[in-house]
Amino acid sequence: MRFHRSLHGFVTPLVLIASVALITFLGVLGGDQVKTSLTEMLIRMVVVVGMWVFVGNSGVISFGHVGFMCVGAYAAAWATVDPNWKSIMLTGLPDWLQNGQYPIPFAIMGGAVLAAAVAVLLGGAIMRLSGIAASIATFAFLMIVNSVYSNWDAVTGGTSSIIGIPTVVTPWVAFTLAAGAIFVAYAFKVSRYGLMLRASREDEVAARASAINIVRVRLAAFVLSAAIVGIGGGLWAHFLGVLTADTFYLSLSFITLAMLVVGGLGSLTGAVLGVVVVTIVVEVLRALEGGIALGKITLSLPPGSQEIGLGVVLALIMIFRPSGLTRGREVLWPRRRSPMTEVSTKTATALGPGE
Amino acid sequence: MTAMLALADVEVRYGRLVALRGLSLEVGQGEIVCLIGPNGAGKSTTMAAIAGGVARVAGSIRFEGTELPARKPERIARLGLSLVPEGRHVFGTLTVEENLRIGGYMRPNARESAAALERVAGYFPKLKERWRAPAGRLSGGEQQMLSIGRALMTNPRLVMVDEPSLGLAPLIVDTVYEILLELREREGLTLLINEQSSHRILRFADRIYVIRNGAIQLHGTADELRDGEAIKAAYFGFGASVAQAGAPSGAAA
Repeated sequence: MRFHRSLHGFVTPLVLIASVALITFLGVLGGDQVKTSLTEMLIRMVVVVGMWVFVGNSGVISFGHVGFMCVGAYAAAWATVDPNWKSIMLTGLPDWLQNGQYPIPFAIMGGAVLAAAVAVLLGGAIMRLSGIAASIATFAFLMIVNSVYSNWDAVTGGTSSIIGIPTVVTPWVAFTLAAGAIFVAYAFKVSRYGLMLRASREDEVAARASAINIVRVRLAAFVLSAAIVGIGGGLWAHFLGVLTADTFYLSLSFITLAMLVVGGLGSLTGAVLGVVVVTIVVEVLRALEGGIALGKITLSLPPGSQEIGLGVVLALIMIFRPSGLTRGREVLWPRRRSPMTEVSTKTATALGPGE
Repeated sequence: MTAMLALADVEVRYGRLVALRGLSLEVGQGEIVCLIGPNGAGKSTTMAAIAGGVARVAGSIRFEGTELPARKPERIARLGLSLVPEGRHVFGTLTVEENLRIGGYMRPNARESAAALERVAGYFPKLKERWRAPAGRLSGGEQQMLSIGRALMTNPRLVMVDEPSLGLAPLIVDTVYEILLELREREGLTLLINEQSSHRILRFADRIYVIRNGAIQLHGTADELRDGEAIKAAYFGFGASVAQAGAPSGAAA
């Protein structure tokens, strides 16, 4: 029984990781196109799971996390691009970065650290705000990151891209990091800090009365979250090989938030599921935009259908399942789950009228 | 003897609205003190001011001899002064167990906190039955007990309970009060309780303050105020002179 319970504690991340592994396994059997989409999806999973660490547990929507992805991506690229190119294009970099070339895992971790450091500075200022004010402040952060990275020519290349980043991220590399992100996110959720943060999401007054320092627990989640998203950025850089600041702006923010909301903000399962579902919707619409040959005629949707379709899916989910596909629940073993919910609803109805 | 909790001339304003105008009250070690008054009289504001939920404009609030900071509820909770907020604030999606465990997080060591969990659960057999249910699914009475239990987990010496009877059936309210009395006996707690009505309070409280318009209109021991007439006068505000003329002795007569 005791063994069963301790195992039970980690069923959710294990089931999630196993499901993602299965998807990855099936995906790599497909063609190059499928593999590209798959890798892209897995990197987005790192990003969305990272966002969820903060957004899901704190209940504060952040529009700025893609900014951390940008910070992480550029930092990783600085470390791995050919020094000859850097010495011509990125003259503003410090010597050790400009003339050196570092191992890719080290570069990606560096990106995570820089993103976390930025989060400490930013979070210290905005974690005091609540609700929509905090969300708007994160949006302002995104705009600042975008304009800094688009204009600081000597360090970021400005509007011209950084090119020649080694492209080493395969589906399995991306999977490994996505699995790691899922594991860390779950461990945070069930940790002391995670529990205190979720309590503050439910009720600020009661949380503070229970001696919870809301600013501190939010900040901890914000920094961890930024670090994971920063890793996602580093992966992105080493997947595409090219970086432009505008990649990390409104449309990517929209799609990552859509993934969170579709799956359900309340659970890690929601974040993972949302990534998969939204990717499938987008890929299907993209294929339809490209056209499907039926005999002699080719049927195709007009360009832009992808965004419209995604918007419609989002609206439908908001209407019919406002708390997302998972309704804030985590995946458990089916056998374990049904008796539990049955018992609790039974007792709820049995006791309900008594009061 | 100095009071455990002492408020002197406390004034709180919400914008131009004056919520507390020079309120003073004292709670002694081991006492059950009740603050009663109509809606909007300033009962909840008084507790919020003590617990650090609102900015104080003037006056002093001392707990065990030290002045309490304003606007720092999480620090005040660590001093051994715990608030059970009005309207059953529980963490809805978290389980009963998690709700309680959170209260114990401020305790320095895990073993002590686990022991506290065991002890607190002992007072609330009904909660034990619902240990792994989300708190949002509990009935009103169970939620009230849960928020009291969570306050106990912070290892308080004084607990403030804001309207424990709000929206609960009379039978449940009795249970809640029995538990509060038991806690005073067994844990040596001091209690400050807000209520809108006086009839139950007269049985449980040692002393009673009647508050109206942000100031204390009347105070006395439960014995002195037993017949309820003075309370009624102070509560509804007719014969305000009664309150000013040293009400406790007047009421006893």
